[in-house]
Amino acid sequence: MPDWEALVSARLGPLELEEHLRDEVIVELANHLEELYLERRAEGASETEAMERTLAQLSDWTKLAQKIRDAKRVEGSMNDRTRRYWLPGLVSFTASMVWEMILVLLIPRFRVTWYPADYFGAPHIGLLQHTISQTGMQIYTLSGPYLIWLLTQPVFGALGAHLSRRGGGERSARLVSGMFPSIVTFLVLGFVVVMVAFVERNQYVRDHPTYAALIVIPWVVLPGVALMLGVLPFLREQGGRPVQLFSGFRSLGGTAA
Amino acid sequence: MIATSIKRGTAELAILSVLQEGRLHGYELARRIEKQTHHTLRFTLAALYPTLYRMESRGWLRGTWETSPTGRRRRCYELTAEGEKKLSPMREEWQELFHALRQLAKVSNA
Repeated sequence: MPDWEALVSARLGPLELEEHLRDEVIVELANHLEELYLERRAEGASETEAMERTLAQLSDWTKLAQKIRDAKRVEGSMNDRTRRYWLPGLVSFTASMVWEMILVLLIPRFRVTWYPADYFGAPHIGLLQHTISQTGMQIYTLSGPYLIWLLTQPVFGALGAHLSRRGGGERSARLVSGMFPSIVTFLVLGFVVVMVAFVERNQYVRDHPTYAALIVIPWVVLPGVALMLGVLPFLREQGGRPVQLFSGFRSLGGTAA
Repeated sequence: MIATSIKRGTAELAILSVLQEGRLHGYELARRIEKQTHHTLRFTLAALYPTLYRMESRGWLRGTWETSPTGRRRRCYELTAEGEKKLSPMREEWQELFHALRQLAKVSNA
């Protein structure tokens, strides 16, 4: 009777897994091969023939080792939900925020704060630029940097949806991942407004709840619409890709993987 | 439309379906699939274990070690709640695929 564990251990190599994981894999594969071997012997095969037929199950040990390593390590460290929701969403959100920060640094007048302008006493606030005309009329216009940021949001929506689709995300996952920057902003703003109103007991916010609520329009609703524009192309199911049937199987008369 | 997942999930569907009937170790699982498909489908060892490990990492299966009466240690797999949940939509996708193939090939019993 061959020493199956020694054989598997030698052929699989180091596997680059933690020792206990590697040992488990070796025992499991060795058990499987032993069962196959005993089956062949029970069918009347000689020891040599049974051994050859058993090992015919595996033509490429290096490839098997790599597949096991990938399954145990990559999939183990990143589960489905992470690949389809959290990671794409986080990348999309971070990229959008970094872009916003770059704009803030490049164009100092672009300040990320909320409407109305006078809450923090800043003269030029985020989306609105306040100027006074020669006739003394007060003019509010959308600030250029905000428009740049807003118009580029489809890129970040597309980025999140693309990464989610690449991670095997279904349509809902792609939608959530692409819209993630708006979802997070909505939650953060909601939290801040509640804290300011009820913990800090800020009188201005308590007296003007509508103003506080209006903040969602420039920082959640409008970017949300822009993000959606980027997500939309990724909501279509992909057609035209080859359908791989019976992956992982071999049919009768086929060769081992 | 057929989802991308169905294109690569054939092996996973077979494993989930068989494990729904009860816990099994790898060798038995491969045998059961072969038997239930009248030897049409055979799982090679090289294909089986990476698939099992991947499904376990995704939380669809749970593998636990058992010792047989003869003293041999075996790793048995069973479906998790998440695996159970995954099975139903997978089956629907397969039905959709077969329906599409039937229409395409005009085969009456695909």
